[in-house]
Amino acid sequence: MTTAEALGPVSGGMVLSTLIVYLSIYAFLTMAYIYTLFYMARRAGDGGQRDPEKQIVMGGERNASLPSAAE
Amino acid sequence: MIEHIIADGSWLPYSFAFLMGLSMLIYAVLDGYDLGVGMLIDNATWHEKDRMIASIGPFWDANETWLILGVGLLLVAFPMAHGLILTELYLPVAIMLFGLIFRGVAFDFRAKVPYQQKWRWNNRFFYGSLLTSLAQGYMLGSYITGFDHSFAGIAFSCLIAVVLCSAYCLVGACWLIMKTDGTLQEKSVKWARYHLINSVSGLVAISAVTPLLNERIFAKWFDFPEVFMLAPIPLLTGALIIWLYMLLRKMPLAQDRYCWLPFIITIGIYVLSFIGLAYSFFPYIVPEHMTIVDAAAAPESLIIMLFGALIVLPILIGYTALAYYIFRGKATELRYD
Repeated sequence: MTTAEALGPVSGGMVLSTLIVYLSIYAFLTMAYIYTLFYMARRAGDGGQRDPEKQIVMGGERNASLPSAAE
Repeated sequence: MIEHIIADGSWLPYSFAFLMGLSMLIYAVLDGYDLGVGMLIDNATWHEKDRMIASIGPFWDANETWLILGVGLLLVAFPMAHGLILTELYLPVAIMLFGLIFRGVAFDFRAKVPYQQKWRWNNRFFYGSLLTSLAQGYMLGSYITGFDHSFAGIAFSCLIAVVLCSAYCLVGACWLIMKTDGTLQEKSVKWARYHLINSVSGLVAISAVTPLLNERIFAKWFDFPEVFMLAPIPLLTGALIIWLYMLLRKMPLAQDRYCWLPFIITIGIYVLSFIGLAYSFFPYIVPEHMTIVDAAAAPESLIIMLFGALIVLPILIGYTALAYYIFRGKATELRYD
């Protein structure tokens, strides 16, 4: 079977447009990632906030629920 | 019937159809509640959003494995059907993936970006969840109609998209009743009541319309002795819905008793609706186009895959159970320390 024979009935325009959306999402996310990375690096360099005991970052996903808090 | 299925070797395709249906059902319940919570955060306060996302944090990504398993089984066991379904659903699948990407990264970005920008990622989390659920509902709708691209078919799929969002919000709100307390729990009870009424109206409309539009499904449900054998499915569903409604009117109860019960009842409603749907389609894997036996891969490859599936499934079920055991109880504050 050649590539052309395996082609489904989805139009080229449709495939192109989803590819463009996909690439733009990843371009946007890469920028957001680099921006956030620099922000976090700057904050970590700031001596005033280094004590991990004082860093409560709310709303992330890890350590979300602990059984000890059930009572 | 049973001897016949074993003798002609068709038990293999049917076993795979069962496993695939099972993983889709588990997916709809598990990712359903975390997508539902994702849609409900739009109505919550700043602080409640954190708590709500914390309640699904340890679970959401494992929940999505069931979709991978379901579609993976479709690909290996029913390659013809997989080709047909995914080509037909190209656009909604692409939209679902875009939604899932935003939702997945928002979990981490919202906790790490500067505080003033967190609301942007909260919004992206909400829209990602909404888009994913709408796309899944639309896919379910066009699957039910056998990929009818006429205006009526598209309108029906859009209706299912909205109903499925509401059904996800219902199971999400029931999850929050179980995992939260205080005012957020009271709010969740209100959300659950609202979405119970919404999704049940949708469910009733769909159950009434589908047999009327499709003679084959009408015959399967209303022919003589079947109608009596099948009566328990709608009756039991109705009973569960009324029970849930009565319970939600009284919740939350003193000492948080039965806070887990709405979630369990909702799972029951999901299971019964799924059985109803599966019964309507059997023996088709693509409604009105392709039967389970026609679409199945060769028995030799199926038997090898069956061993694979029988190894993977217990591991999946095992780690799922372990995660829910470890993170049992109420969701608490999030800390990175």
